[in-house]
Amino acid sequence: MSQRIVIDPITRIEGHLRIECEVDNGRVTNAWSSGQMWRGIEQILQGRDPREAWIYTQRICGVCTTVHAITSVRAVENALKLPVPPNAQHIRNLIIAAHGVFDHIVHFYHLSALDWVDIVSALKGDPKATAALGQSLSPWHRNSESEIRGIRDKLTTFVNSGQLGVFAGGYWGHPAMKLSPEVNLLAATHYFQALEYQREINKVVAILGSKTPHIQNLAVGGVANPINPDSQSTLTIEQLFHIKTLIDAVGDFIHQVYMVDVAAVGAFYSDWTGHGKGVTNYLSVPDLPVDPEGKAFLLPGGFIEKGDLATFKPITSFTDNFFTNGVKEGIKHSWYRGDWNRHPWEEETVPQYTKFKDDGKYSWVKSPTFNGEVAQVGPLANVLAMFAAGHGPTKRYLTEMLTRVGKLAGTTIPVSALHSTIGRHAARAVRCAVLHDTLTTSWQALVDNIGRGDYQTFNAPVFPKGEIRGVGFHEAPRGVLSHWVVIEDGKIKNYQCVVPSTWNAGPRNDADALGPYESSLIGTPVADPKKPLEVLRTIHSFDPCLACAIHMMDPEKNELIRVKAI
Amino acid sequence: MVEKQAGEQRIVVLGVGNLLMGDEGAGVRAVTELSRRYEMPPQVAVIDGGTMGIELLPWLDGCSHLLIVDAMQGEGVAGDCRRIAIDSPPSFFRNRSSPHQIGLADVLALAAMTDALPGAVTLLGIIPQRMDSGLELSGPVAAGMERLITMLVDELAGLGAPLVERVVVSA
Repeated sequence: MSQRIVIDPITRIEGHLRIECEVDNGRVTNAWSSGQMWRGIEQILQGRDPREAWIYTQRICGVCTTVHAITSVRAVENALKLPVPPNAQHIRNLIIAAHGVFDHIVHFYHLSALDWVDIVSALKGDPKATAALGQSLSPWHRNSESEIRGIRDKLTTFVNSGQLGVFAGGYWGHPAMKLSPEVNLLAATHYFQALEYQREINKVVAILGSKTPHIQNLAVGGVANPINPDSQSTLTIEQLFHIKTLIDAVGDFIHQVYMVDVAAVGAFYSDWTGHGKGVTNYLSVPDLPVDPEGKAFLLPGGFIEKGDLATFKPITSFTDNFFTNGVKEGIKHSWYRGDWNRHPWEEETVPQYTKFKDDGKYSWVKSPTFNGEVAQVGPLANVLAMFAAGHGPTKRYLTEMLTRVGKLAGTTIPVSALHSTIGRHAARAVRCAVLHDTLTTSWQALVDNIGRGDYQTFNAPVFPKGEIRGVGFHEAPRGVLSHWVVIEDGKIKNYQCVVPSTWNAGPRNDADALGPYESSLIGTPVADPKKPLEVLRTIHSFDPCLACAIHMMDPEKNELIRVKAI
Repeated sequence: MVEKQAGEQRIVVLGVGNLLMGDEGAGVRAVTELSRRYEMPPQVAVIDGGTMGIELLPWLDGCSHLLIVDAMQGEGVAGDCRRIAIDSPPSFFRNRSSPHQIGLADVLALAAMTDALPGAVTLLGIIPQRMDSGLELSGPVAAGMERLITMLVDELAGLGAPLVERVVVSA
């Protein structure tokens, strides 16, 4: 008998993600991904000054403020063909990479690790054995018995007080939880340590972004950070050295903890290299530009067809038509008026809500395609592209990851194992290490440039009469983000955001091909339809925005999962 | 950012909400207006938290009193203001319905686990009328903003942090 599982986060105002699955004989046989949030940013921006668009776009989402700000100024600069001074590129690159490192660490430890790590089991872990295990895996200096014992005692007090907090709603004791109490305790210890390091690296964003949680320092044409090595009120040498200290502080955590933990989880759950594959067309974009025009980048990106790295075709510049002409969005299954498949510059956004219909419209998310194909985006897409492009650090860290997993699992792990749920986590850790390397590179480039006496950070934009069009793209922590702007006489005429979660969470497209979330769920084993942990594992591996909501819900007060037999 | 210093009073006024969703942004608008009108004493930090979650953690470092300013559902009519002293902050916000309050629950739960929970958490709220796409506040909420700002000023004065109005002289 088949059953239907509905996982619908609480969010009554901005609904967010709802997943419906059909399960037959313990496996998912069909799936629907439905974005429940209607995003009105496109209407809000019409008629406004393009120089201010980024201030509004950074409010689209509480998780991705910085990335929407950066992408917006890039879109307007692209429309104006406005070069960006090297100092501004380096400062933006530091913000982008620091935010990315922060985001990847938080995603693994605080938003998704609890899908694999059983906190209640961790309480039974022996601190001495856990320390020995940790020391056998890594030279990390904080795998000591005393630190681990301290964390276990703290957790025990916490659980005994009945206030599970962020640990409420976890599927503790679920049959798909496979780690030993010691591995669970080691991971729990790193969960707490990760809290410290994510804060440190996020301070880089705060220092450069003007000391508020929302960055304030952007401008169409550059950044608003005046550089003067001698003045206290501007970006000083002292601040720059503080930034370097923060960058260095998080390096050991990434290499000796995050990379190691992901490898260990991958080895213990190696069966999950066989689940969650889904769509294997991968799209990513180059990022961290080092020249004013955006033709040279620290990190490559491009398109890979059907999982075959030999098909990799790079995207080479901010003006590359391979990207600009390749993107379309369709609304056959989305709650908008009509049924079309259009280029973002030609889109309209007219909401038309109807009921959830399996074979009709069922989502607020549109269905993007790249040259007509559904594509997966995110760190996995980016790491595969960088690997295919021969990017040195990516090859080094990916090889290190696969070798370590192989050693722990007692087998050889090929690159093709990355096309999976666990592979998305592995790729994200590799990308985090790669991004961290760029922080040092960008920092040095900025310091050297200032040392040469170049203090320029801004080129003033001038808007022509008539219509111009631009696209800004960015390889954000969750994948390709693009903003598309049409400007007429200096005012915004049309604005579209094609966001990473649109690529991955989109519904069936105009050819009824399943979106990446949907496709990745087909075949997933589900031990207990009332506790669909396995479905959450795969969805979380994409790092959906507000995935944290799933962990945060209180099962006694909110109906999380409705299971109905059909 | 408020630096941690033991024993000292550190007050964080945190406006939360989405500026793009009409009255949902009332909390952010209130704290923005507060900083525009008043000089803050050194022990007070005003933060526009938007709809952020975990990224707000460092901003609560060393905080002894957290004043959260937000749109909130409650008894009464749109534009009415409410003050709630919150005993158990993480669970209080976990059951709220808007996404940014899930983020807040996250932040406060993590703060609780790392022994960094502010000593006192107070919610100052305004009842919204409409929370759909748009930058404007509804009439009743726009009219209620003065009450909300006055409540904030009084709250801070009650904590021994009276605000001084900025004098703007146009020359």
